[in-house]
Amino acid sequence: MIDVLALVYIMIFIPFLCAVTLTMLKLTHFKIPHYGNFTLSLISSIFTFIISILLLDYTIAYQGYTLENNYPICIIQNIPLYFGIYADNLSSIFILLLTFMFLITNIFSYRYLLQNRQGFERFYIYINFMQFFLLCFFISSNLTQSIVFLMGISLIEYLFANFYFQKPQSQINSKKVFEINIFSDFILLVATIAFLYFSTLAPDTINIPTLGYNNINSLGLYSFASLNPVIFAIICILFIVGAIIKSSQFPFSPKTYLTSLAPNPAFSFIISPCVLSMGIFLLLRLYPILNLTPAVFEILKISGIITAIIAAIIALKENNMKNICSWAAVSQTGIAICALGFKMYGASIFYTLCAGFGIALVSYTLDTISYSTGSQENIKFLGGLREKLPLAATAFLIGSVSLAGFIFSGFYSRALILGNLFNAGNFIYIILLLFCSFLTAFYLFRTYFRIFEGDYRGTIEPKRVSRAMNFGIIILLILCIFFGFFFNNFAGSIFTLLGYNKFCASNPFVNIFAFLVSAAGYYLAYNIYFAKRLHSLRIKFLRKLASKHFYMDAFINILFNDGIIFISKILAFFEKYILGFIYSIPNLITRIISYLTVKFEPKSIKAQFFAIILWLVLILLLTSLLYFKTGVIR
Amino acid sequence: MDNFPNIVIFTLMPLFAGVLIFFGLFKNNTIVIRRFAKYFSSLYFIYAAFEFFGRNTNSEFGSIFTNSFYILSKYTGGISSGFDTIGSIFALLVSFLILICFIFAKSTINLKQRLFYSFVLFFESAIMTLLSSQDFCIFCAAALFSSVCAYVLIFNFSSRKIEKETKSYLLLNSFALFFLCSAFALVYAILKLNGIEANILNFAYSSSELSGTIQLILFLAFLLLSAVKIPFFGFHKPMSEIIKNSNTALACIFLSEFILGFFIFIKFNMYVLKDIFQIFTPIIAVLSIFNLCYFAILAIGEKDLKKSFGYFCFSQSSIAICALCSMSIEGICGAIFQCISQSLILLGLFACYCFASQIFKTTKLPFMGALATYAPKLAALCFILSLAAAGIPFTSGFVAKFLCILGGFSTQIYSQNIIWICNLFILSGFTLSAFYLIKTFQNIFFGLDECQSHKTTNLLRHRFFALSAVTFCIIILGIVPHILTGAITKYADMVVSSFLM
Repeated sequence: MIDVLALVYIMIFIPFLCAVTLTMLKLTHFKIPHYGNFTLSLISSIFTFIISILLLDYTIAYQGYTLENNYPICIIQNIPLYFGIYADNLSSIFILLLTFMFLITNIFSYRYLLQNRQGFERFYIYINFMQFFLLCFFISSNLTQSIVFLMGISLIEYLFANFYFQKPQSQINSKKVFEINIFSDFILLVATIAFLYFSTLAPDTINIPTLGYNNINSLGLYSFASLNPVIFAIICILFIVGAIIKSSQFPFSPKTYLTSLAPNPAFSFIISPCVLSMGIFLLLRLYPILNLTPAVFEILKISGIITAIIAAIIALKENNMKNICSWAAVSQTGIAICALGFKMYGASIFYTLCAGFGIALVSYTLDTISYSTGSQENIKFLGGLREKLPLAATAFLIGSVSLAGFIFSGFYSRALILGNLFNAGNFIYIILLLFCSFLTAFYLFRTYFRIFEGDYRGTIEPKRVSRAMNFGIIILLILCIFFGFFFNNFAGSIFTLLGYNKFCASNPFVNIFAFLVSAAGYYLAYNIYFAKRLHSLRIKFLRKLASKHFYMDAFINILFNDGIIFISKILAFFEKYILGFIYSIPNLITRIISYLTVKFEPKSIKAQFFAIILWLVLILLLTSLLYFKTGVIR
Repeated sequence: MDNFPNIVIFTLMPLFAGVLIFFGLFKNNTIVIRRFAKYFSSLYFIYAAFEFFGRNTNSEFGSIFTNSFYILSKYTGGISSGFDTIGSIFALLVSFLILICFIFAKSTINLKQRLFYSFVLFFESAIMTLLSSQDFCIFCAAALFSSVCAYVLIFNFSSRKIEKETKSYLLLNSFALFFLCSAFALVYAILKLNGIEANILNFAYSSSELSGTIQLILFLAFLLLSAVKIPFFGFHKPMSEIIKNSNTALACIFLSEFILGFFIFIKFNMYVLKDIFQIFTPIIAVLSIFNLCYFAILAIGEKDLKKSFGYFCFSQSSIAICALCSMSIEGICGAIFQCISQSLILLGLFACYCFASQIFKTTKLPFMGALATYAPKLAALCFILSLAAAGIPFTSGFVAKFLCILGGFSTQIYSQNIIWICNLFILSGFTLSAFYLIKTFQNIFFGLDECQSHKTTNLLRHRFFALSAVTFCIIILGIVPHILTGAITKYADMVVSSFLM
């Protein structure tokens, strides 16, 4: 009999050991060849992937049973902090996805890093640490552990964004990434500590492993019953705000594109569902608490739909492949969050997974194009690559079709959300989501036509893509095609697996309409960028907004940089002149007194005697005042 | 440490070593003086660790430093002395800080070594005496002596002559001390009059029996002294100039001064004069929250590296005071932990910044950049220390901030609305501090290459060793915080129970 618990611990610590080994090798200047780093990391990813399959198999085999273990790490002032495992259906699925993406990233990374031979060790150290933190986050048994590892992930995101630290833009972007992340981390930390304190006040709940997810329901109910509703709502809002910032939602959406200067495989990993959906995962874990204050779900709905549309509009204007990918990922995450706002628990996870595979496919395909064309990332300087890179063209097409919701995985997930909305009668949101699908179809096919059709506009002759990269793309391609179908056909069992029994059959009328809307997007892109029958619409106002990222960059700049520096300058003025003046007052007084003393110096002994008497009387007066005030001097 | 000879030896040993150096036992042989001071400090630190930890009968982690006010032995003639829990923790911390500063001094202090090493040892002795003293006269004398030592050191070893600021600092300190001395004299007279032996211990027991006015005078005297040492808003100007012109070896001075200020605040203002403290708590809480945000914002905009670091120090100090004002066990525990963690982190960070400014030969941030390429070890250590100061997990900074926020929520004396507003301000203070740290780190270690025109060097071996030791302590405290929190909790429990009484 396999001890699954031991295996899970091994799975978590393999990347950690790998990262520590690589770090020690680097610190001790022990030179190992480049493929040594790669091999070590690849072995680690294969092992973790195999164990994650075993874990999912275990959770499916023992439906309803959650693998749980808590190990006390430290006690901070009577509050024990646990490092624990809580492997239920949700975490098993996300862990499988994570280990799979980690494997794909490793496969892609070697050839990419060989290009410029820079930061080999660093890359593998960072990626293994990220894997470790993400595993610990997805499997965490309590909220405190989740927040601790979220902060770790933020740190690695910063390190990746600053990977090529010689580039000035990389430094600026990484700083912003750090600032946004630390802001959300502190918000989540404050919310967690508040919840920790208020939920463990009662003697009945004090012994529960601190904020364990197994007890989150009862802890939430207890807090809700004992707390002022407004306070409880504030805690929930803080959780939601922190989570949506983590998932790059409006107005913090630029966070994702700011990491675009990271190495391509790492960037694809960051915009994959593993990292971008951390906020969604956290919200899913906190679902029992948030459910007690239904009003806060409105924030999710509004933020999600605004992000989805705005990100799609910005993607229309972008010419950089990585930026298009990042905005597409943000847009899709927005739709998933919007679905979560409508309490479509299962649909949201389904959408995250399906869109995640689509995004990963598109993103890794664009990585291969960048690799092939000598790091050319501007789609204006590409074209006609369909014949030279047929697999990449097919993969991108399938990814786009899926993301736009035509067919394949994307179709099923979108149909599920639209069907649920239709049954609930939320027609405004249906229209907005369809508009988003239209935009998605348009910008993805625009990218497709720009890159793969027409004549090649680049300067470097495209080179062959390595077999390892093609292998990774083929796996993603298969998943992108069949995942939704598989999920849909085995919906009953899998939704039970996710703890959601209400699978709502999608509405055929809505599906046909959605298909037509996506087709309209494709048709428009085809006419403008391929057949050249139409000119692209030039709505000046919208173009300006899109190019300025709807002033989100400016907002972040003012909030985290310019605004603070402006206040700082005012305070520095106050410090220098006003406080400086106040500090000079005692000196001034001393000078004046000294001047007066010299000027009115008693000329005779009589006058001196009079001055002494005056001082004595003053002291006497003060003492008697003290006496009368307090009654007695003890 | 409840043993009379031990206390005497412990407090007077540095004084004796300082006298040996000062009166020329080693003549002017700088190498011998330096080595003697360094080895003496190492042994002294080990001795302190042994005294506070090794002699503990119950050697569990949670029970270290469990001495309390009740275990005190008396000198002859009614003078009593002894370390309480917090005093012993701070004594160990100060001895560690001074040891690290002696290591840094090797390449920082090139002139007047005899004066430097002897006065630092005098300063250490004065602080130890102040931390252990239970006698009014000895307390005041030690406080005055420590201020004079600090003055001499700052005056002689600053990078630029800052006569005016050093004098202002000494004057402020002296004014607060003389105010305190007069207040003490009053209490002394009253205790004698009532037939009670006049020492700090009895003063602590019978403080609530004193009239409100006298308590208020005493409270203000102590508050003034701690406000100068920590420092609070309004008293920060001389200290900010001192930090601006300090070098690595002088870091022990302003950090020890902060520790002293905090010790005086928690022991006297909070524990002994609890009745008045309860009245003043809201004002102090608001002031410290204001300090936190004000100095963090000032630090972000400041172009001078060391001056901005000074503002950052003040901002961090305010977190501890803020947590104390919660008057809850968690808050007090968090405040003490923050004080310890902050002292270590700031020492490390200041050392990193000083090394950077030595390499660039300037303290102006716009003329710094791209040091990571030339000094990778320094960059790595500075990055870890910056993260610790920002409050990233697995460092002592995270535990301290965690406890401080927890303390903020667990307070029973304010309404929920006020608690939330305060906590949100504290949250913004933390975020601003993190912004400052990342901005400064990026500015020094990345950015435009300003290193080319300077003779660049990576960390020297002794500096690397000292910085690694500090970083190690920070990480250990972050991973196993219960080394300290067990003992601190008992102390906090004692303070809070006195409030309940």
